Amino acid sequence: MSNNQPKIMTHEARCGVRLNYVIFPIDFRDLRHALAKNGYELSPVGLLPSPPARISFGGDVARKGETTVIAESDSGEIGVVGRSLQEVKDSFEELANIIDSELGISLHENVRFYWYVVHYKVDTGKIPRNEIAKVENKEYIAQFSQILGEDLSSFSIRLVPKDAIPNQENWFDIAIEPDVMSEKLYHVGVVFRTPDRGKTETFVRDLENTLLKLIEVIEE
Amino acid sequence: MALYISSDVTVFDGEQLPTGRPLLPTTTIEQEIYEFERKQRLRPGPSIDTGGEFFLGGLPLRLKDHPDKIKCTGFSLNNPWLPANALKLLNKLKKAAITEKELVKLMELIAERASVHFQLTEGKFVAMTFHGQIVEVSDTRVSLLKKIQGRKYREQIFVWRIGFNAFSGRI
Repeated sequence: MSNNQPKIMTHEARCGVRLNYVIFPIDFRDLRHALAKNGYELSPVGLLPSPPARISFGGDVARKGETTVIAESDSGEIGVVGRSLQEVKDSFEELANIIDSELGISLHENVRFYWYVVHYKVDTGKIPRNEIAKVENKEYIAQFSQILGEDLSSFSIRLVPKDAIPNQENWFDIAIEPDVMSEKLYHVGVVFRTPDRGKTETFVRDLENTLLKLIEVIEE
Repeated sequence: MALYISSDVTVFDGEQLPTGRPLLPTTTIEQEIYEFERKQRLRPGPSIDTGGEFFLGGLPLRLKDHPDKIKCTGFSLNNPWLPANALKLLNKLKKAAITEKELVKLMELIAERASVHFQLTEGKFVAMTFHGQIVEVSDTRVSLLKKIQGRKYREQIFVWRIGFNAFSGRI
């Protein structure tokens, strides 16, 4: 890195919503039609049965620019995958507007939870392996080392909300670890979900700065 | 006479409605539906009507589900997404009804999308197809031309300098 400013690069960002209906309310044929009408390229599929036969579907539905629309009708999810947090945030809003105006279905109603999964690479100019080892619990690491008969150190830091249950709607998980491909980079993985749209927006708005602050604490 | 095995008889508004699945279609419409469903391998949807099957006017009321989940296979990473105006121009190119100005515009659009999609570095010389597939990349025009000369391509290719409005040639 040329200067001392940490650099954060998005590896992949995904966001979406899981709806809380018995039957997924979006018809695959209607969705494809609406997306094609709005400049999306549709993913190739075979012959589709005509309405009113219901179809369950999943995978990459369509793409526009660098974002891809993904859906899983069985679990009631629809979202987008892209290259940056801002890109997927904007694309998801565009998708929600299209579905609302073309199909009359609001992605912000009957929401079980919104979700974000983002992977970053961060370059601070330091060696993450050494920095992460500084914040490990020495007492426990000494005991683990004794059991395994090998000098050990912590490889990652994972932060989750205290007392929250991972298999619930309200959850986040921030993993900070050395990138396995480059020893000079951190890999930061973020999973976030909540039924609250406002909380989602707040979390996403400052996410990148928040992550840099966390790494700053590690490197102090 | 309808051919079905009557498992029960339900009285509905004074009318007797047989329940149970007909073994064979009895009318032309039923025959068509039967054939369509057989071909499409549709099955009754369990989530809409959970009651017994019943028929009004010989037509089934319930919706059908397609038993196979449609798996969208996704997109080839080799081809970038192209905007609608680029696709229109590509269509004109196929019909050989494109002007020189439109051709340059098309190449500009494709080069722009390809450079974003493949995250190409500004200043690189790239040979690509009219669908945005990258054939070869090089630092200089001469080295790029050396790499591609003598090769045969199934599609037309053109050379573009990334980040510049520079059309360098069409093969």
